[in-house]
Amino acid sequence: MTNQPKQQWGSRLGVILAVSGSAVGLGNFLRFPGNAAENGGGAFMIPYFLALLLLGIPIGWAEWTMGRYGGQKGFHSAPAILGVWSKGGVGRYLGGLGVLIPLGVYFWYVLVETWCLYYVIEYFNPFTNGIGIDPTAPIEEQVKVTHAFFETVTGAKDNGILFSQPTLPDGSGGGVHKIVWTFFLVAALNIFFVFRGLSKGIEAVCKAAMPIMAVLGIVILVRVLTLGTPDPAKPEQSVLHGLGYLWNPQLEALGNFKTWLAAAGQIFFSLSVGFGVIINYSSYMKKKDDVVLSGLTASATNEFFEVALGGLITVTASIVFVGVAVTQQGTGGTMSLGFKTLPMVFAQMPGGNFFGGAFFLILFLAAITSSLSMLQPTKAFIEESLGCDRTKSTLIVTAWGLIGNFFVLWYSKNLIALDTIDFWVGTFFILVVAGVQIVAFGWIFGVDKGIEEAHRGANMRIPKVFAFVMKYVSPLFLGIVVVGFCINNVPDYLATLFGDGESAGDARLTWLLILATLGGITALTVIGQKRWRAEGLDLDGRDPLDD
Amino acid sequence: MFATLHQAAERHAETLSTGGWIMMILSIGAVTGLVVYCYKRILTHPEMDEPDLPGGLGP
Repeated sequence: MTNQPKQQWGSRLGVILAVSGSAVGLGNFLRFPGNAAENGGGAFMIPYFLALLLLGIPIGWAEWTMGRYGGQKGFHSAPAILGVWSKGGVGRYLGGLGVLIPLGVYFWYVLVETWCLYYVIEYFNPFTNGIGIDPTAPIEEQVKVTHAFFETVTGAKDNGILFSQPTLPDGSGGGVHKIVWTFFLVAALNIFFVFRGLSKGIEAVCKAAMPIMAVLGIVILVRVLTLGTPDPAKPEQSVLHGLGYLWNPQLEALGNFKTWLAAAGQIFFSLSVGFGVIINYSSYMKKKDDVVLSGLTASATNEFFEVALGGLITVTASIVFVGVAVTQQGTGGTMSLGFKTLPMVFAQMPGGNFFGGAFFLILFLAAITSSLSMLQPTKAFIEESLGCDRTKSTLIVTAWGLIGNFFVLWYSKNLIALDTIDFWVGTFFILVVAGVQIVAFGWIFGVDKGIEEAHRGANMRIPKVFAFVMKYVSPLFLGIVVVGFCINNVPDYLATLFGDGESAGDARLTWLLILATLGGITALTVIGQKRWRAEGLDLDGRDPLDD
Repeated sequence: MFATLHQAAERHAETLSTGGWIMMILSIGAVTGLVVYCYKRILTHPEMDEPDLPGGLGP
């Protein structure tokens, strides 16, 4: 043990808002409406809520409980805590994925956060007209402008282009793109707040950002719902048509396995269960702090942002201003809807620069509350495996994060590096960690004992039926999701990785980065394990907690 | 997160139907009701303030 003071949350509301802030991200506002519209509209909500009840909330409760229990044993990282819950080394090493996921996703997520801030600056800059879209131009021209802007900002045209911009015929341009300097600002903000610690850094940011996001979201929502039919010549582009596009139920979609898979995937990734963050955040709670109501509240907050705000704003506004055809192109992917389609919407909306800036500010706040949560698990892991202090751990995690950030910034062509990390680390491995968690909770530690531990200091009891759900239904449901997900997605990614297409080289290099990161985490787990054993800590979870 | 499933069926503009109204009101009502219930319980329930275990491996 060290003599350093133990970090704790300032208040119960603080930890709830921090977990909610981690969960609420771009996916709530952009991925959810696109997913729902493409997979049965209103009918999508049936499998969606079933997945929330049978997968999201139970695994979330398990993760909150595991984290708090691990914290009482003196641990704050997923490898150590999962070692305790699975009573051995297998869980500990698989728990390394619980550090890889937040760190790996941080590698690219900060860049998306940077795009959001860059768009905010462009919209609020009085000397520019948003991102330069002429609302009177034909829609095809507007599509070209918005796609070109996105390609320039992301560097999707070629590797390294953000650091070596082409010089224009008039001699202007060249050098480093402005987005790189914006990235430095965003990275510095993240590092600053994480260094300040849990209470003064992450908790303070989330306590300020979450209400601001809610208020801005409601302001934009009111604006969107009062748009009516801006162009009487196009009666099919109205608010009611926009809402109909998203909410009219197509019941036949319920007979399609992909609808169920998309709903479960949306719930799963939106709530951040299995991400390695909740287990870390809850480890800083006190022994008798409530985890049941807190976990439910964090999930409910995320759902409010997703269904009530995400479900009403983006697609509705898009249908009103650009119609079904262009909207449908955007709903195929999170980034497409947000960064390509919506700028066209704001260009045509009265007061569009303000609403565009406000919308991307919401996305930026949603992103920074998430990215802060991605650094903290790695920082905690470094501290407890190496026994170093906050300054050293912040320096190490900063350097590690910057290596990954620069890799993704440089290998920007077609966003292959970003997409590869997102798919394998930010999607596939999450399913693995969640599986480890629910099996450790329900089968190794024991579901009855686990729920008893969850009830310590709880403000509400977990309904009895959830003992059955957590032991049988959630693992089975998760297993089906994993199999379905692999069948649907893995072959394409493997084909890219092992093929000889132009993306293969970048995908392989990205895998080298992932493996190197995982290797570093495994080495730190080995070092930490020796330390923890030497300290006489119960790293295999054999001893019960003292009451 | 960004890896999404696609069903590329072509859609047409339709106004909000009765079924759409029902699904929208039920869904938004459910999440709004849940969030109000949770925060009401959180804010009205006194927070325990007892000392915790000292020290730990990290700061």
